[in-house]
Amino acid sequence: MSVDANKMLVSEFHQVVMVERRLDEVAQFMRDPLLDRDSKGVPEPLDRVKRSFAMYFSAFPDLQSKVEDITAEADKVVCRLTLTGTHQGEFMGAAPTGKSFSASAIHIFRIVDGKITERWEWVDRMGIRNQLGIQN
Amino acid sequence: MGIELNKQNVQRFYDEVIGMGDVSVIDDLMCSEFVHHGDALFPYIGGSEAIKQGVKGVKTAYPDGHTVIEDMVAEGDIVVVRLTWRGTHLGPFMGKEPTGKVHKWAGLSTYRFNNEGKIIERWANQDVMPQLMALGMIPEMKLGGG
Repeated sequence: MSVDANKMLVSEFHQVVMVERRLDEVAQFMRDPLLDRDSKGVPEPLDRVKRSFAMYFSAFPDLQSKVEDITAEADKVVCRLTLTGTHQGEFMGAAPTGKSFSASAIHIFRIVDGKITERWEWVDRMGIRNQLGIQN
Repeated sequence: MGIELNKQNVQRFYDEVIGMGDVSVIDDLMCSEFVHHGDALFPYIGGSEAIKQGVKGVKTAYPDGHTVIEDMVAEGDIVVVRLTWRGTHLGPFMGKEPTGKVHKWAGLSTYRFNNEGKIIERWANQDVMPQLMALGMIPEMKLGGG
C-alpha cells in the first residue's frame, strides 16, 4: 500500500464511521482485533471498539468530527481532529448536562495490507470534562 | 529545509531544550511568533519567549524531566511526535509543593514549520489527567471511555 492509499483509507474510515456512523462497516477498515495502544496494548475486539464509538454517539448525539490535517509517512497515518458536541447522554459516568464542548483529538494509525491494525489515540478528555462542568 | 531536517529539529527541541534545559536553542528552532495550542493544562501560549519561561518553570519543578520520542510521522510542513515524558517532581509546580515522586505522561504533538524551516505552530496533546491526579489537583478517578 502506498502512503496515498493509506491516507485515503483513513479519510474513508473517518467519513463512514465518524461522520456517517455506519458502525457495521468498521470491519472494512480495521483488523479484528485491533491493537489498541491505549488499552495497554492488548488486542481489542472490534466489538469493543464499536461500543466505544457508540458511547460517544449516544453521549453527544450531535457530535461533529472535523479533520484538521492528515499526515502520513511509511505505514503510519496521523489524523488530527476537532470534536464538537452537546452532552445529551451519559458520558464517563456523568449524567447529561446539556452543555456543549469543542476539543481536539488525534489518532495515529498503522496500516498493514489495507487495514488499520494498530492505533494510538488521544482525546482531550480533560477539556471535554471542564467544558461540560463535570467535576469528578 | 525539508522533511528530514524538520524531524531533526523536533528531535533537537526535545533533546536540547526539554532534556538539557538549554532554552537558547529555541531561537534556532522556533520563530518568535510561535503559537502553542494545548489542552486543559496549558491551553494557549503565544510567542517563543513565553515557551522559554514555560520550559524553565517545568525544569525547576522537574530538574531531570526529559522526553523519549517513541515515534515520528512527517509529511510536508508537519511533524507529528508520539512521546513519553518523565521527571521527578522536586520543585513547586503550578502552585503545588514538590512530591518527590516520578511523574510521567504520554503525548502526541504536532509541529508545523514555516517556509524558512522554523517551527511556527504546535498542537500539544498530552494525557494530563494522570499527572493532575498525581499532583492532587483533580480527584482520583478511573479513566476510560475516551
